[in-house]
Amino acid sequence: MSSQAVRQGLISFLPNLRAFAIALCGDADRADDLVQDTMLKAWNSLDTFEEGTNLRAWLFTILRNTYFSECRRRRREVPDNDGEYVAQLCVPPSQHGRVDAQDLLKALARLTDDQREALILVGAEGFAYEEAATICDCAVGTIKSRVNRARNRLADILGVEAAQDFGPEPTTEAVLLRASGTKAY
Amino acid sequence: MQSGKPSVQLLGSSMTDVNEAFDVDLAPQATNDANIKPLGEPVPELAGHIIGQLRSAYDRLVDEPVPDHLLALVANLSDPEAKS
Repeated sequence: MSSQAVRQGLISFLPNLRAFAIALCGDADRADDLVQDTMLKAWNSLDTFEEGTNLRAWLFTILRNTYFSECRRRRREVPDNDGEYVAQLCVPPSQHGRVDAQDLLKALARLTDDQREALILVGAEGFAYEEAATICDCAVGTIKSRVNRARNRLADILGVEAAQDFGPEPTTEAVLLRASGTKAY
Repeated sequence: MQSGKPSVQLLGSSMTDVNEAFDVDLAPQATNDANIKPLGEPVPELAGHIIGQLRSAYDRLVDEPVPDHLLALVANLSDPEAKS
């Protein structure tokens, strides 16, 4: 893979890497530093990247390893558990539910690190279990377990017991209406 | 199409992966009664809603503009060959 192709790859994955970093650490400035470190490490380690393999997964692996290495160094530092950053995120007008994006991202910050990264990688970023397991350097079954526990924990933290506790989401609402025999227009 | 589920692709992962992860059928077919969960049963849609909300919140992060200094950093990375 040419350096120009890698450069294009880095640029195209920047938004997702940054979102992953923010979701991991809950702080935009720290996330930007993480992404910057990831870019530099990736670029300086191009010879370790196997052409034909998954560049996106490789970059996410570097980012999460960088994050956890940093966490070990900064053990005393408390992440944004209060969700100061995510509290600044605006909520689109289509969401009127009792649980909104801010609640959800704050709740995400209260998961354990391994549950949070597994849930984000599979549930939000769309990696397959196998890819997430490779990124997190653990067994596929471990990832499945972490995702399931994270989802249950998230529901506990949010205090939701039924789908109705969330605001209407058009697609799902239409599916539910169809399933109940009511036409959605 | 496998198992009667739509082959929806979301960021490289199939909806089947998501369903398996959350033990839910996110898109039950109205014509298949077996996919319709009766009222009162533990709500499988809840998991679907949680992941839907998570994706929505996460997508908002992805949609945030990337700071210029990060874009500039990548644009100005010198070719590895040039380093040596």
